[in-house]
Amino acid sequence: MMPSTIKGIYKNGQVILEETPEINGPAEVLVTFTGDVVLRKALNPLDITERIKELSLLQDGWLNGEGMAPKKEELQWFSNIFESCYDTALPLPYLYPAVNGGVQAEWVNGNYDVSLNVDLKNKKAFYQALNHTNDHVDEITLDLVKREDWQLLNTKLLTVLKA
Amino acid sequence: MNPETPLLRQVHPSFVQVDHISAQVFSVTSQAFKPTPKDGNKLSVYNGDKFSAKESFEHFTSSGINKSFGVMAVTPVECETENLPCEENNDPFNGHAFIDFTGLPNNQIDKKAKKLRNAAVK
Repeated sequence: MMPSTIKGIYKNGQVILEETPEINGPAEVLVTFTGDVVLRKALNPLDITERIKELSLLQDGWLNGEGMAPKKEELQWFSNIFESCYDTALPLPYLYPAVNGGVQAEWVNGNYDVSLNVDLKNKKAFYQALNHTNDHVDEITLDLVKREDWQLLNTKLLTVLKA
Repeated sequence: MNPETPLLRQVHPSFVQVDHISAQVFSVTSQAFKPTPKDGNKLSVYNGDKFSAKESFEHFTSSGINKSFGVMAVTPVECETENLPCEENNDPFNGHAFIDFTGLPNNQIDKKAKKLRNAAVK
């Protein structure tokens, strides 16, 4: 049953609630097909698992006739290794498909514009952090199979995203 | 085109990620300003002197083949700042122009795409 005292805001067809007694953290209200009202913990809109599910629906030619679709098993590999190696203290990235069948993760923080262009087939990634104030670019190619390269990525992101 | 003419770029829906919690509401990848293999390093844009943003959107999507989430714009001055030539070639239609990334290595293309995206959202 819907609590009568909770406060929320309505956005894009969803009710986003502040802290509730029922759920520790932001929650959303769902109305089921049977009319039941359910409270559930709200997903981060940048949740990687959910985004990977969306990207796995792409077909070849997704970009106005061009664009290779990322392979489902490669997306699943990325999702798993991201969950395993990405520092949970860091903000989640935006995640987009790339025309070559890979994905591109992006973070924006103040003057920094950061991208990680992931070659899913070869499990490599090109990291580029652009500082808009001085045009300085930090770039490195990472081997996403190596944990030490993920640690390096986490360290670099921590520096630019917490700046 | 003059230095402040809007160069209108169509943004594919897959290049937009909705973020319904942050004040930003949605984010657009810098890939929106990165030429694809089909572009041959020449990023297609509409000449804003001949098309409004709405007209360019309708023109782009009218065939039912091309998809656009919306339109972003940079100016020739902003392109020039990044040493990216731009010109109108009216091919394949009157009002077609392009931003030329020819000769740049991939990392420079990535950097300049970020700069253009940043200019477009300011």
